[in-house]
Amino acid sequence: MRRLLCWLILLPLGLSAQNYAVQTIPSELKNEASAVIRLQEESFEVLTVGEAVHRIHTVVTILNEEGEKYASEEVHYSKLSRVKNFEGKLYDANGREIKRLKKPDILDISSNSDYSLYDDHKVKRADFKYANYPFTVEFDYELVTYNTLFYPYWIPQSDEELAIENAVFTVKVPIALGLRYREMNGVGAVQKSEREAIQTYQWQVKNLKTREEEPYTDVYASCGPAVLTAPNQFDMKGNKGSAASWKELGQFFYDLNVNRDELPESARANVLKLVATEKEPLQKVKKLYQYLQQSTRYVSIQLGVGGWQSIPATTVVEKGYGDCKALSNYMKAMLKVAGITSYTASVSANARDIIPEFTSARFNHEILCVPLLKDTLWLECTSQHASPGYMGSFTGNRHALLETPMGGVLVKTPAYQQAENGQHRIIEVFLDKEGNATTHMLTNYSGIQQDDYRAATESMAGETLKRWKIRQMRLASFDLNDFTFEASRPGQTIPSIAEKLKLTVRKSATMSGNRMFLTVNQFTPWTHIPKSSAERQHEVIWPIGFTDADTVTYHIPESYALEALPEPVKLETEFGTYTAQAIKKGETIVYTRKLEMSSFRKPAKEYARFVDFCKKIARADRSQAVFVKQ
Amino acid sequence: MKRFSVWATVLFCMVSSVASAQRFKISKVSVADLAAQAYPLDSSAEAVVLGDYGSVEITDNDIKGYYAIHRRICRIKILKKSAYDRATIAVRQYRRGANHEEVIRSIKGTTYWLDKGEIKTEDLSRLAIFTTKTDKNFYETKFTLPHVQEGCIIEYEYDLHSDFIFQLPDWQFQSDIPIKYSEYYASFPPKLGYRAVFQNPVELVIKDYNETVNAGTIMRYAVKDLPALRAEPYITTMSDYMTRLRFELVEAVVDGRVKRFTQSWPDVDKSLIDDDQVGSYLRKTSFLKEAAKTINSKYKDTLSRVTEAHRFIRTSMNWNGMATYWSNSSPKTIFEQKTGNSAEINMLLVGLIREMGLEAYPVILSTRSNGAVFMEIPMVSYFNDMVGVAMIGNKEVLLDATDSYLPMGLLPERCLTRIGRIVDARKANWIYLKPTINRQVKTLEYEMEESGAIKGTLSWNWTGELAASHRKGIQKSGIQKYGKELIKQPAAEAGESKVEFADVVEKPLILTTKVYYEDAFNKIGDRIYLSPALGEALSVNQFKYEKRLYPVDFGNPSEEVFMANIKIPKGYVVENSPATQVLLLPDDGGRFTYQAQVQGDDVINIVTRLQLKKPVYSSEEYPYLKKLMDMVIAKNSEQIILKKK
Repeated sequence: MRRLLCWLILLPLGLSAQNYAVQTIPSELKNEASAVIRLQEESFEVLTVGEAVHRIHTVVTILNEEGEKYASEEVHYSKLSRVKNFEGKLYDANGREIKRLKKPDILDISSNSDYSLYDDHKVKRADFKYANYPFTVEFDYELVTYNTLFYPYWIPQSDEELAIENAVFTVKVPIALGLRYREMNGVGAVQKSEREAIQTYQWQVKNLKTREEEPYTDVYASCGPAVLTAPNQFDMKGNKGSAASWKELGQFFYDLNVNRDELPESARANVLKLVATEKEPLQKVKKLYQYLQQSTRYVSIQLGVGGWQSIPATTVVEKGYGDCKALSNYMKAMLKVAGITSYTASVSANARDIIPEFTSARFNHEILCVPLLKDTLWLECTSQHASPGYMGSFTGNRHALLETPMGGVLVKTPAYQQAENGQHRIIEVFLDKEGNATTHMLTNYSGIQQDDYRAATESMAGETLKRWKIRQMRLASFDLNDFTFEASRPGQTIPSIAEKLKLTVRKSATMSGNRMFLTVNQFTPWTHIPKSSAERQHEVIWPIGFTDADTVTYHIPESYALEALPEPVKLETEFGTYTAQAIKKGETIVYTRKLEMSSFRKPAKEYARFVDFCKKIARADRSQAVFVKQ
Repeated sequence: MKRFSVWATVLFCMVSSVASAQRFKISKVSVADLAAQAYPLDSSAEAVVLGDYGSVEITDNDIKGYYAIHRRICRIKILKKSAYDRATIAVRQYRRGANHEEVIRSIKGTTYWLDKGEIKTEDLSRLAIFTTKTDKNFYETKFTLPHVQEGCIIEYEYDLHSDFIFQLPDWQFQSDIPIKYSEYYASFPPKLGYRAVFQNPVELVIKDYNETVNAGTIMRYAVKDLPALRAEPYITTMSDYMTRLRFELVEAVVDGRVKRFTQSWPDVDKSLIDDDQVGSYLRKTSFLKEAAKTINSKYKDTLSRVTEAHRFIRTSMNWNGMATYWSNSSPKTIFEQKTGNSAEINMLLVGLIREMGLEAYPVILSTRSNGAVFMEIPMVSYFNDMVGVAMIGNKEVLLDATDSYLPMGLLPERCLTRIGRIVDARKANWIYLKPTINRQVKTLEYEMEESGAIKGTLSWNWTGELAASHRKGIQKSGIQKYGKELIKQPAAEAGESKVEFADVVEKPLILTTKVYYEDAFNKIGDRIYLSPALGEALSVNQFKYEKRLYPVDFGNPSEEVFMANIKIPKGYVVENSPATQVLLLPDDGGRFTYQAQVQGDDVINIVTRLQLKKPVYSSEEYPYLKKLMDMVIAKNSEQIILKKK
């Protein structure tokens, strides 16, 4: 008996020593890695349409400081889920267990973000504060969820400096429910088996070396092997629905919020009064949107049904605030009173777009879509200053799921093109004999190129705004003496901002001996040259087209005579067009430059040519005119 | 028992509300206040605090003993939409079980706005108040005011009941938005004596202080029209520049006996020397005797013995990232676990040196982010970190073993505050934490080809903390990647990088990278125009703003040397090269020298040296510093002209 006991105690330790010693990691996996996943077993078991268990077992060896984040684990849960069996162990380099998580080691707190007034999300968090590298941690937990709208996205190699020895992903689902999945980036084929009306799917990756992240590409394409899964039928605590198609998913969201767009009588009367003088539906929408922007503000507050149900419009009327769903729903309610139909629409804002071929509820934001006779107007209801219909880079150029009484409809939001995203400059530079300059600069920013300026001018003024502008500028040494920003009238489809600056620039031209050198493009230089890569893997994506056009007039001091001007440059490629030239006009040098790039996707083999295009622009932008003292 | 406590609370609430009504004279929100569209004293303000009223009252009862009630009433004018987030208020509370907690009570709030010239109001709803647990011992109560719009005024108030009376929170008379009026009231019972200290004092519009045997101490201070605090680069922490009132408990009557806390620096010293977690810790290091003996037998002179002790602790212990001046477990446990906080690790080192029969002491300090120590006002609550000092001959050598990349004598960046205090019965005193110089020598050697191409090597030589931070960088990204990232000119192609002394922290760190430029200079006619530093010299002034309110605190003095050794193409002669220049800061606080020399027919040597000799420059010196940088940049932008023979 005693002997047996000893065995029982020794066995797990003996096993772990064998498994998790650092020396057993193949050396090619350690190369450039900050951590190596020794074993990751992730399983998702759908028990019924409304209940599933997500189990994670991870063993990670942390090789250096950079991998420190893997020494901790977080389990997020909410009112619709609960955490079972959160365990953790710490092993030294030889695989000897040196610590186990105890209950007080596990922090159980709200994961309420700073910007959020309240949400019911909580997190259990544990980390091993250990600093003797390398060492190994093991975590084990089980999350039971009663919200089956989300099945896991399995992306085992989430970071470029993470290597993987072995990772397995298993999904078990009743055959009657079925599973929808999408395999990506060379993950091995699924292994399927079936037992007692339960279908099991399994994927595995082994011995993945660290990968190198590439610039200008699609996040989904470059995240390493992955499997995305999603449900057909689901249940969110009694709210049943189907995610089998966009139509059904959109219907679910519509039904969840039906009848929440009723306004109290006084608010209805107010809406009718506001639009009474307007005849055109477009004008009515603009009027009401302006009212929304004046009378409400965005407060993140995630309550009903896992944060998917909107606060009723009546509450927004009372409080004057709401989150994206509440404010969109309120706007929809006002439009309804004015006799205008609109639909709320879910999007993945400011982040990667959803995958249109794979129905899944990975949205993070809601906006309002108003189909009008001529055109469709999109409204961002959380912004106090957005132009009606303009979406910017936040929600533009991506997919949105319209929630209509006839079900969901996936549509594309407007993409802003190169002509619309403009930066047009007219600059006058008055040089003195020392090369210092008084410079007047007039810039018109439009479309996506005005987004940052819009946000800055709406949120800052005076000295704060001035300092912001100073930090934006790349001139070596200057004073900003005077500045104004003038925003286009609200209601422009493509908003713009006119900026006027008066600057004193020191050494706008530089002196050597009796010569003066003038870098002709000192205000809009292209300095970014992507690192060249011999083995580019992924296609090259330039997401947003733009046009930059400058006209600069340099007034040259009398005592200097022109010695040399840069050659004109013209580059016409499938990535974009660049033209630049400097000409002498009386006592001035007039420099004009235009760079136009459209958004594009090109195969990986074009990358070297793209880098070359960037280099040529940068080189042309460095060119100088030379003057000699008389 | 339970019933009694409920009564106490209710009774208390009544008292408190009556008291608070009298405590502050607060005017009503006026139409004029609501109609205002900007704050005349600061056009950039998105909001302005019209009135900020705070109070603390300490009382005691039989159950809880002493406890504090903090009260806050705040009225803010919202001027721009960007200030809407200020209508959501978060109050953190520390709770570590009964009698060790802070609890918020009596939250009230109102939004005022104008509707056709008439004042409208709406109160904060109870449903808009949420409390969540945000960390092990922290809770956060958040609430948001209704109907916030441009021009509105929000007002909120709450009580914070706290069991913590030893360290009272500061009252901050300044914020990131302007404050029109701020008032603080404190009432302490006769049994508790606090010292109130003004930091960055300004003119007070109310200054009442009353001390009586029966009523205790009552004080009231108010200020008006304080500007917004704006962060700047090269500062320690914003709170060093803020006008605030801080309190320190100096004496208390506990069980009928007067207990004195820190009143003078010797009091502070004594409390630390007697402290279980500080002074006593150092008396438990006898387990290091063996290690001490080994070091002593291997090394003969004091310097190499201390150096070895430092190396031994630095490499065998890992810092857990916590800066404190006290230990949480015994030295032996810490040593066996091989991880510890800054006090634990540095006291191990001090202990080891003492076991070796040499002289060493712990030194407490306040880190840069924790803020300044005022020598005139003794308080233990300034401090938050500990290093050490060893006496080698007559010299003080600073010790820190938390950073495995720093050699002996250097302190990590967080400790660059120049002032520390030795913890020792005999030697207790201030010690100047002398900053060491950060030096970079960058050398660019290259050969020009007539085509415009350049081939060469770029090398860096770092000493001081700069070396430690680059050692970390190399460890993090690998030599090749790091070498590439250091090159400033984006058009350069980087070749192989090599590193010397990556692991020998006592030596300077040297990194050498091969560089190649396809098109590095302009050729026009029979002349070549060359920017000799190829973009590697200082070219952008980091001091961008015209004025500065706070000192420029670099932490260290610095020296930056740039050298170029250029071989010009065959068939060319130097027509013009930049003239020698020397620039000085007032009182030789810094200097810049530039020298260019032609050697033989075809080699140009350039040496530039920028010395900023002081770790801190005052705001009055700022314009000179900015001007110096402007001139450095102008000089660095000069070109060399070559002409075909």
